Amino acid sequence: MRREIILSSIILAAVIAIYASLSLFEEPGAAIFPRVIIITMAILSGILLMRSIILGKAGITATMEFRVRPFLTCFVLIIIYIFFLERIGFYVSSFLFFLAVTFILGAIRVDLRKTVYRVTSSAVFMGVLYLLFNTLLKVQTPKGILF
Amino acid sequence: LSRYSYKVMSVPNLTMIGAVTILAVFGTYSVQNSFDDVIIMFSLGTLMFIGRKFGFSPAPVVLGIVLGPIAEDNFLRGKLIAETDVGMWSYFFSGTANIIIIALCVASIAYSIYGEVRAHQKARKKSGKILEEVKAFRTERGRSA
Repeated sequence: MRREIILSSIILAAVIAIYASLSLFEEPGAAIFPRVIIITMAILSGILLMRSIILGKAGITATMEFRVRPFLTCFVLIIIYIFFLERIGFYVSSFLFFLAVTFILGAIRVDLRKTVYRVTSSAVFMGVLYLLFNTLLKVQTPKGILF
Repeated sequence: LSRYSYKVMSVPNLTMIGAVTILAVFGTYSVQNSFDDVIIMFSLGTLMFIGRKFGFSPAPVVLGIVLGPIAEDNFLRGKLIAETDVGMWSYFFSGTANIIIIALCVASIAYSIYGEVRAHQKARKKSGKILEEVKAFRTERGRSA
């Protein structure tokens, strides 16, 4: 079975599942707009499924290269970053995230010069953010136990 | 200042990944001071990154997030007016402006499907012609040999 058909079937199944969950709304009036959107989505995903069946291989095509390892590394790093964001504070966690991205995704060999450059660039970036948004614009950031 | 803007291109990719992620998190949080928005941003970002692999464009999702609340507010307002006036169906599906807009929406979807089917048929015809030419060339070569 073709990948596009599987994908459009999953979308259609998700739409049906969401539609079934609409009965859980305590206020029937609140479900009207979601119902309209879901019915529209069902029609469009049905068209997508038909298109995939009729067009076959000429249907949806991949548009970019997809490398799994860097993607998963980034994904895990961002999850850890978001997890610690509200616990240790925005500026400290962002500084650590910046360093982690450059060290883990970066070059395999790490020398002293590169380490100093990376730590300095992270510190300068966070310093600029702090001055610009916290001191000048007074924008709220997630506050944690540290900063 | 624009003379030096090209220097952004020389920033290493890893630095850009870190900086863009931090700015995205910061920007999303600061709109409503809500951490839920950050989680929505991250979930949609990941979904759309995977979606692009299958040829899905992230633009409609962004439009949906921006225009969704506006559409919902106006739809509910319209529904309230319709219920006290002529009823939902007549209110939304009658009148010149409504019919023109609905017709345009249907036409745009139908035209995109028609265009794709036509392009697919053309490509099939073309590949069929090439196959016939190759077959003819082979049989001719077989005869001459």
